[in-house]
Formats: sequence, C-alpha cells, structure tokens
Amino acid sequence: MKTPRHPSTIVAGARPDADPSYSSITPPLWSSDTFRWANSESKPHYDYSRTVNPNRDLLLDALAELEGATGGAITNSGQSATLLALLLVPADRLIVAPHDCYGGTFRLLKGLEAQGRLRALFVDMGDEKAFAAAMDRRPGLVWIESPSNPLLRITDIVARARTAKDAGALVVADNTLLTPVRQKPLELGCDLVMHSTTKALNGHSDLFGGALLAKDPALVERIEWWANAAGLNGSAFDSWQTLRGLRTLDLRVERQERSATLLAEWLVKRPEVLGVNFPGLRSHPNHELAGRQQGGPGFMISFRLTGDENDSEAFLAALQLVTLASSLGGFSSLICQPATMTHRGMPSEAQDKAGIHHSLLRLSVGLEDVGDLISDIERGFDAIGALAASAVGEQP
Amino acid sequence: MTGKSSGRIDTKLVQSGRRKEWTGAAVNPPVWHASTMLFDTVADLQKAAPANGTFYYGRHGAPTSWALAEALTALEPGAAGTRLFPSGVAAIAMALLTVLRPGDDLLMVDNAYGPTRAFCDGELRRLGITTRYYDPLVGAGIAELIGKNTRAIFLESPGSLTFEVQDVPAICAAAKANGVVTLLDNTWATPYFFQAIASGIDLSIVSCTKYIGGHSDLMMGAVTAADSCWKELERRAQLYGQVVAPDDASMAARGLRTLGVRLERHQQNAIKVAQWLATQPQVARVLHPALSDCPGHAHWARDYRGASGLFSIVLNGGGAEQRARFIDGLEHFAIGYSWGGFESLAIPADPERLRRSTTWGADGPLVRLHIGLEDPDDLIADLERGLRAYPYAPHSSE
Repeated sequence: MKTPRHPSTIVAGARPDADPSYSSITPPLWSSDTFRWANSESKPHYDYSRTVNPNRDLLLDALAELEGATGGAITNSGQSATLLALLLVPADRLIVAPHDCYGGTFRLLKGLEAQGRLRALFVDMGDEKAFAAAMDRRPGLVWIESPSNPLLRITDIVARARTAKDAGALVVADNTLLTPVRQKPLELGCDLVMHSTTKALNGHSDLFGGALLAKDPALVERIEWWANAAGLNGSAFDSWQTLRGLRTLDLRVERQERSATLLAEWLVKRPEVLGVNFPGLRSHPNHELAGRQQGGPGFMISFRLTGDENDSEAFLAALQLVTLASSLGGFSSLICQPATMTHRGMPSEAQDKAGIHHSLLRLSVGLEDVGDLISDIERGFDAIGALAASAVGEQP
Repeated sequence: MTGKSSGRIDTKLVQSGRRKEWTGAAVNPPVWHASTMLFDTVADLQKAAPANGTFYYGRHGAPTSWALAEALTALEPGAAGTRLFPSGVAAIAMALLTVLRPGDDLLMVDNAYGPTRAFCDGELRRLGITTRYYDPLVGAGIAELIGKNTRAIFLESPGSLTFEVQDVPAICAAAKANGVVTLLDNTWATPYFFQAIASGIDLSIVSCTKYIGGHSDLMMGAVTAADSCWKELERRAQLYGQVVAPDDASMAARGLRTLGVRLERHQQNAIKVAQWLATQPQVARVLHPALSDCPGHAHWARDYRGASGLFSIVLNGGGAEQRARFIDGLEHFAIGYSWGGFESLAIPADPERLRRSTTWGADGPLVRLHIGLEDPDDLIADLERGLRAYPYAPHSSE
C-alpha cells in the first residue's frame, strides 16, 4: 500500500513516464481512434479509443488518486457520468435522490421514470424519518449531493451512506461542488463518486466532461464495461485539457474559497439580502457537520434578495464583473438564478418543495480580487436602491 | 464585460482581454484558425489597414492573439501595447532589433541568459552593433559606462542562473538622462510581481513559455512597450512577419488566468524550500532574491511585490560528477530546460563559462531549481535524501 500523496503533489507530479517515446513533462495528445495490433491474436492494452485511451487514463489516474478510488471512467459530460451510474442498476429498481438535487439529475431521473426504466423517489435528505422510510423500500441506488446545489444544504454522508448500504443500495455522491481537495465521499462510505469535470476540476470554462469513480474493483469493472458499451467515454483532447486544468485545482479552490468566505460574511450584513447559504457561516444550520465532513466550505454561495423579480432583474443587470451564466467552478465569477436557469429542468412545484425560491441567486466565486467582487455586488445593490427611489418618484 | 479591466491585478488576470466583441457570449474567446480575412468589396479591401485589433490578414492576428496581447498590456500600467512572438528568444531578438542600428553600442548585463548573449555576440555583431557586458550590480554607476554610441541598456533582473537583482530604477534614471533606451527581461518576476513599464523600462520582455503559459506545453514570448517604443516595435514585428499560432495563444491566455494563484504558491513553496536549504551543511549558498544574502536582495525588497519559484544553490564542495549524481537521484525534480511550469525541475549550470566583464566564483557546483506546485514537504524530503548522500567538503577552516 502506497502512502497517500498530498493533492498538490498528485496534480503537479510530472509524469514523464507517461510518454513512452520522448519523456515529455506534459503528455502528448493521443487523438488516434485506433491502435495497431502486433498480430491478430494479441490484443494491445490500447486498442480502440472508445474503450481505452492514454489521455483518458492519465486523467483517470489523477482523479482516482485524489478521490482514493481504484478506477472508473472519464465521460463526455457530467450528465453522462450520472447516466453511467444509473446504468449500473437493473431496470425497475427504485432510485432515491435528494428533493433539491441538481436540475439535470432531476430531469434525467424523471425522463427515465416516464419510460418505465426506473422508479424515482425524491426525499429531503435532512429528514431522517423520510429517509428511513425511503430505505424501507429497498432502493437500488441512493444519490447524495452534498453540499446541495443551489441551496448548499449538507447531508450527513457517513450516516446516510451507512443506512443506505444496510438497505442494500449502491450509494453515489456527486462531489462536483467541493472536489476531492475538500471532500472524499469514498472515505465517507459511498460506493461511487461522480463529477462534472466541466466545473472546478477543469476550472477554465472551456470544455465538457464528467467522471464516475469507485474503490471496489468489481464496481470499477462494471463502470468500464458500461462506459464502453454505451459509448459514454470522453475525448482524448478534453481529457488532455482537463488534466491541464487539474494542475492548479488545489490553488484555485483555496483562493476561491477564501474569497467566498469574505463575500458570504459581507453579504449577511446587507439589508438587501434575506438569507445567505454558505456552509462556512456559523449561522448555517449544518455548519458543524460541514466542518467535520468537509476540508473547507467551498466556493459556492447562494442568497435571496429581499425584493421582487424586478429587483433581481435590476441587480443582475447592473453587475459588470460577475457574469450571468450557468455553470460554476471556473476562474471567472458567475451568478445565476437557478429557478429560471440551472434548475429549469425541475417543475415549479418541485422547486417550491425543494425551497428554490424565484429570488434565490447562486454565486460561483472565481479568482478575481475579492474587493473588486464586493464592489461589483454593491453596484447591483445600488441598482435595487435606484429602482426603489424611482418607484417612489413615480407616485402621484 | 468590456474586457478593459479597471480592477486590481487579480481581477485583471481574470478579465483582461475578454472583450465582448472577441468572446461573444462565451467566457473565453474562440480559437480563430484563420489566414485569410474576407472583405465584402474591393473598396473595403483597399480601405483596410493592418493594425492590431483590426481584421486584415492572419499574420496580423485575430481575436485569440489580440485578447492575450491586450491582457498582457493591462498588467503593465502605462504600457502602450504588446506584441507576441513564437518564443522568448524571438521576443528578445525582436526587442533588440527594434531599438538598435548598425554602429550602435549595447550595454548588456553580464548575468544574462545564454541565448541572449549568443544573439548579441553572433547576430548583432554581424550587423555592426557592439555589445559591452556590465556588472549586474552596477546600479547608478551605469552612467559612467554610457558612451556616445550607446543606444540601449539590457537588463535581466534577477539573472536566471545567479539571481543578482538589479537596481532597475537607478539604471532607468541614468538611461533617461542620457537618451538611452532600456530593455528588461522580466520573465522571472512577470508583471504580477514587477511592473516594468511603470518603473521606467521602455521594452519589457517576458518568455510566456515560463509562468504566463505555466503548464510546460507551449513556446511563446511577449514584448510590452512604453509609448516611446510601441510604434517601432509594431513595425518591426510586422516587417519580420512575427506571429503566434492561435492554439498557443489560447493556451497561454488560459494559463494567464491562474498566474496569480500559481505565483503565490510558487513563491510560498520556493521560499520554504530555500530557507530549508540555507540551513543544510551540504549547501554553501542559496541564491534566492528573497533571502538576505542574495546579491541585490535590497533591490528586490524595495521594488518587487514577490518572488517566483526559480533560484539556485551552490553546493559545498564536490564537482560536476557529484552534482550530476545528486540531480539524477531526485524523485520529484525532473531534469530539463525551461521553468515556470507546474512541476519542479533541476539542472546543473556553470555561470563561470559565460561571464565576460565579471567573474563568478563559488565553493562548489551550482544547481538551479524550479520549485513547482507540489507539496513543499515532499520536495524537501526529496532534497534531504539527495543531500544526505552528497560528499560535501566541510569548510577548510574546520
């Protein structure tokens, strides 16, 4: 057993051994679809890039080491990784997912359910009784997302994973929001860890990708089998580019998290803000649990504005530095209104049940100077103030 | 999102160059693979003039390279513009050719990078330009070296093998008083740690291969000019057909976005490793600008905002063979040229062979280290293993 290496050493660790021809420090791009066989009987390790590809393997090795996994698959999007996890479960089994899960996960589960491929049950993961009742129904798979997106609720992964496994379910955690430098779900008792590598792992807003990893070699084999059979694997170029992004993961998360903490502490004091969801705040209902289970609070904040839709619109329109866009985890700060953007795949009744209010805004904090970010958000608040002033002025 | 960033430096790193007309709705500008630009009419074609930021012909660039150049300009307050070149050496050569004419005299710092010296001693000499090498620690004394034909002073601060930090403001002041142009190789500090144009430099050169790209996967150079030299630099670059490939420009801009967090970590790691090395008996000297016994340390402390990850050590006794064994035995330090990537590197260097006007003497052989983004304790453990086996010579006084 090798001693675990520090994450920064894993991602920066030069791999000249990975280039068998010239020992280059950064791996070449093996874009070839196919590979030569020495003869028709001896299958080479790399034979066909849908099945296996050196660039994908390099990324997979790094992610697996970061997560404490033994292997898995690199997929062409986060959604493909989710689909891959669902393919591991036989048809007609019950899938239990958080009632406030990512909109794309919700949409996929509902779509597959509508075709009769699975049964989906959405529960409040913080409600112990509801969760226990769901486990009594012997689900095939339990989906964990902690912190949740966009409300940043924390699930007690150790407790939920144990109960779910006792009930015979496979347990998968979507670890996109925190990344393995802040949370390691396999160590917390999950069977599988899923990523949208599009986000912080790549970190540069310039590709799509996903990953599904496991510790148990038998599970890894099933993941590999399905990734190949269903053709879900990611491209060589995207894997190469993601590995390049991964080199600075630890640094980016550290800076983003530091800025997010300052921003959250500043936001709670603002009268324009109704509530701030950030696990690093003492006021967060699961602050202590987050401190136990996570290496840090992460770089995502969500908050509600006190005003109405016009106020949100004025606020968002006034921002000059923070960009209004979906996605998260890149170098550049992004803001979105989940109700109409990332969680559009979730009907409004489900949004209400999950607590995704129309005026909720989600902020992915980037690498800008935090003072400049605060000034920009202040600009947004000023616009709300100006709107109120003009409304007063309009009265006869 | 205007791409013109008025924010602090970390905000500029994220924002600059991302003009809406170049990026569209995306965060990053697309990679424009383009040689020929098309015009609607003959009149439009005849009216068009090649200029930075205007579609004309692929050799004059496209948004991918303009965005990178604009971002680099934004990092140097007071700069007029930036031109990109296919390598750091190309940038050095073009910057020198921008200011020098036959019959001119160039003052070149004596700790300069080997290929810079080779360009002066070979190519410039062929063009009838003389190069005189000066002591990196000359400071204001440079005024006495300026002759009637002296056109330019080239600085490299700190030198990338021996790390003397120059008195840049004093040299710039003497140069300005005598109508002499100053050029600085600012690759070690980058504009993140040292703003060359605001300090009085006319042409600031950066090998983007190093920290700007930051991932050991591209070759590129950049020259950022003050108003005094910008038009002439643009003209030279056009005449010599200097252009960078869009894929490289895109990768370099991608690297630039994390320059701040990378340099912060390189700095932290390198200082930790350097301070540890300074206490080891096998190490005679640590040449790191942030350490007080580095030549020119006071200039660094006064003028620089930080220190990057590159420095040298002088081993205590031993020769080339022992040094090679030490380097070969390191696990986390790869052996290879260049620096500024995420990974740690070690190479042997022999400055005494390069010196012209000054001499280099040391207690033992020199090893140049680049401290990457690995965990510094892993790097220290690695060096410790290597040094333990090093057959060092205790000081003769003992």
